[in-house]
Amino acid sequence: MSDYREIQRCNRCGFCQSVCPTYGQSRMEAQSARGRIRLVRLLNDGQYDWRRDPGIAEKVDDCLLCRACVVNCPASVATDRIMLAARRDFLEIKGLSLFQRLVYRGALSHRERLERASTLMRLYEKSGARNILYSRVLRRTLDRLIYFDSFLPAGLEAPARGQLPEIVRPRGPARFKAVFFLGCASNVFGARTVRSLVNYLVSRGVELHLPKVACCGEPHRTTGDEREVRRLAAKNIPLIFKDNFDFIITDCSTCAHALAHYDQFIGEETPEAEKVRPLLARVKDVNTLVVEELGLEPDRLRPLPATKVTYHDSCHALRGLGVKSAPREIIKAVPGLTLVEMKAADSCCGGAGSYGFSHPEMSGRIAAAKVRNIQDSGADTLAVSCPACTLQLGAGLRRAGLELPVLHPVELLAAAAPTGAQT
Amino acid sequence: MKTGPAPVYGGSAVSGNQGESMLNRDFIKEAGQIVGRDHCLGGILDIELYSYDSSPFIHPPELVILPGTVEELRQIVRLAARHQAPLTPRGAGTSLSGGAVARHGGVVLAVTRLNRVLELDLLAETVLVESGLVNLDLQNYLEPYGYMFPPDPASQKAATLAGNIAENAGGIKGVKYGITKHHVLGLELVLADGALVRTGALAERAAAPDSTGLFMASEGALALVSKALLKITPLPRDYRTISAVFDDLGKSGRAVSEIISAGILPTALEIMDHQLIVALEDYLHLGFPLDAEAMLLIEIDGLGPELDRQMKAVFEICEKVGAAGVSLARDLAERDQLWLARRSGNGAMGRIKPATIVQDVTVPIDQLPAMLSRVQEISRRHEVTIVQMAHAGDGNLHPHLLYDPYDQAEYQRCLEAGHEIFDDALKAGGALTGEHGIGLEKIEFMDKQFSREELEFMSEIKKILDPEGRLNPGKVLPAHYLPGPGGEVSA
Ligand code: SF4
Ligand code: SF4
Repeated sequence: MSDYREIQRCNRCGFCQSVCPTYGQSRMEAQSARGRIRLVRLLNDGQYDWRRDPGIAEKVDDCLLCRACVVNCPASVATDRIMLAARRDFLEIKGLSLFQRLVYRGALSHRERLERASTLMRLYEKSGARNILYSRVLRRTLDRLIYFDSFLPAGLEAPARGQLPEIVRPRGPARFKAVFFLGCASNVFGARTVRSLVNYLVSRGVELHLPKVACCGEPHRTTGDEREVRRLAAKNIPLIFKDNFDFIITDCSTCAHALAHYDQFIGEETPEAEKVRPLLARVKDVNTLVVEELGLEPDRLRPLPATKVTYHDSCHALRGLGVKSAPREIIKAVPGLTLVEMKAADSCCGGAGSYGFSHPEMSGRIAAAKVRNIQDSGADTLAVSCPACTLQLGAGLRRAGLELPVLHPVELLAAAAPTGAQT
Repeated sequence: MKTGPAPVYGGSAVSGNQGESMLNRDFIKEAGQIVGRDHCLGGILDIELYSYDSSPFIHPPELVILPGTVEELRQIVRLAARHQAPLTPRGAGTSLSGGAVARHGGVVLAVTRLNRVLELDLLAETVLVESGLVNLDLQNYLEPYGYMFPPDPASQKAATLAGNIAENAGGIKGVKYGITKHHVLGLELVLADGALVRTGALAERAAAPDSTGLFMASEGALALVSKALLKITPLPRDYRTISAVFDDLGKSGRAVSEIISAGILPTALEIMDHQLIVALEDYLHLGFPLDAEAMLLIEIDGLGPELDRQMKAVFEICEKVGAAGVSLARDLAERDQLWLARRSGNGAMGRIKPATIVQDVTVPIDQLPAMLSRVQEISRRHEVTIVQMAHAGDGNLHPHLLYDPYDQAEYQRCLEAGHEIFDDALKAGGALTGEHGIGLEKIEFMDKQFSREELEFMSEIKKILDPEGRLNPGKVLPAHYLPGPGGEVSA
């Protein structure tokens, strides 16, 4: 398999230790790119066997796929591709775990089921059951439950899908037409953000289409479930890559990154891939779209109360799509906001899809380190361009007892934009 | 006693190596109680993961222990002494000479979790650290205070201070600021029997003889370093970074000798050959000239007019020697990119061939141009790819011999070429290693570099401090000077 050829380039220099978040926490070889690659290499050389040594699968699963090692590796070894190939192979032998069946094929593959789950979560929150969980008596015994509970934001809204029509047209003539890809996490956990972005973009003259899309497929890809990835991509492609749409945008960096790689998702050497490849450039990070296509027009913005904002780079935005300056430019353009950089803004938050649930301990430690950096920056607001990172960092902040608002950069911009304005 | 497989790159360390264990169950149980079960690893996969470092040598330990505190470290060493277990100390595992692999089994004792900065004293300009702290983490810690720790080996992103001390690492700034031993004021050591001693400025009575130097470059074979008191240096106020391009490798070497003999002391003087330039351009896209035979990176630091005078002299020398182009880095970003490129040299070799033997010979500075050309000639004659980079300012060459791990014949040719390089360097009045250590790689050459008396002296010291030869067994000294596993000497 071609992805395994990557292994050959690793000459064990160890430089990846300096950026790998899991190594940073554990300081153990098994949790570094070098170690992970070594094990997959031995497996490929026939020294080990998935069946006889299932420990390898566990260690391959510990990788966040954050790609920090890849961009810092002097030999540019694509550790993420090696890990994905290994997961694919393992899945072929073992099949999906119960957790993966429930979460991925069971829930994420079906929007309606996710939305029903959202109703339950809101019920749980409103009923006050949450307060019992946090009460002193139960606290110690229920640590794990509390960890999971911390992911649930207070005042969770109903799914965004039900709050928005399928087409939103601006008041005047449309500057261009765009698809707003409403991903799973945005739909269930990010309704406030989605509404704000949609309103803002429409107020700037964008005609937005919100087709009923399926999951982007990235969560399934990380487990190696290639068949499901292909099925989901095939379902979404005709909905979003239509001739009359100029751009495809989303508030979720993970979805954006996935959509921009749909030729790989659908199967790299297939005719479908050939067809979709020329259209992939239409997928655009929403921050970049605002900066490049709409313009920031800082003179028209109302000042917001003086606030220090720090920005967390999502892996899929920064290393996946090369988004670095646009979100920062947005923050700097809003009067009243000051951008303060945190240490290691570019290191993974540990959310990594469902990593927070499959690896609660490591994920929690990575989040805690990130929260310390956020705190040290002196910021009083955190800006993030991804609902998954928002969920993870929101939970990390809550566990640390911090009340920092977590907002999308465009949400901040929207707050300063003249209401109902039209250009 | 078990002996590991021959030093080859590819295979599993564990399979085909079923010797008798020297560690009994009580030892493993007690070790687990000291450091916690998560940090006492005996599973087959963890053994694999601690069988290698950045060198071609692969040998499996029987147990991997990662203490979380100095006290735990000490208890483990005591326990090992009771059970007579061999200990191979390990930092980040970036040794290029096999220093961190357990040649004779036993325990790998990794200090990566001992990574705290304990005390910063800006008045005395010192910092006290745990030995597992990563060099670059220390630099980042010091920077806001306007200080640096000058030794900066290319592996500084990952390498620990324990490793820097064990190998007496130099690095890019070595030519002006000296190497690790010039910046270590005192050590806290755990001896083979578990005793804790402090040396140099860390000793209670500073008037006692300072034995700190004894442990510099001792490769973990005399004691384990738990803490180090380091001298820190103010960051240079201003600097200039110059790159010069040559159509011949020897010319770049001549430029180096001339710069030094003109009395200029650059912070860094680094030579990179054609193949390295191509590999690094492929990685970083800096616009390096792909047709150049050699590039010389020069950095000078200091203050205003003096700095500009030196810069002018450097430009003139490069031009006189026949540089095809000389240029000044425009800004900080460009400078950082140039150094990132140089530091990435070793890892970037993976772009050319999957496996590397890195050599580390030093020669007197006036012999540098000739030595660079000799290595080129050896490369041609043995038909092996040798990529050259050098800390040229102190005559420290780093020829990288590349091979395919599945091609045994090519690996053999590399070994032969390597031996010839060692011989030539010694003939030129040089040394086997500038900073990578003897490890497993260069033991057989020790007899050539040192006299019998010198080797016996080293052997005596080893026998005093580690009579059972349990600390990094089988390393540094040839077997007939070494006690314990892999050695032929009784204490
Ligand atoms: S940085 Fe790259 S080449 Fe070096 S050990 Fe890590 S993956 Fe291998
Ligand atoms: S992708 Fe991220 S978590 Fe995985 S090995 Fe690389 S740096 Fe570590």
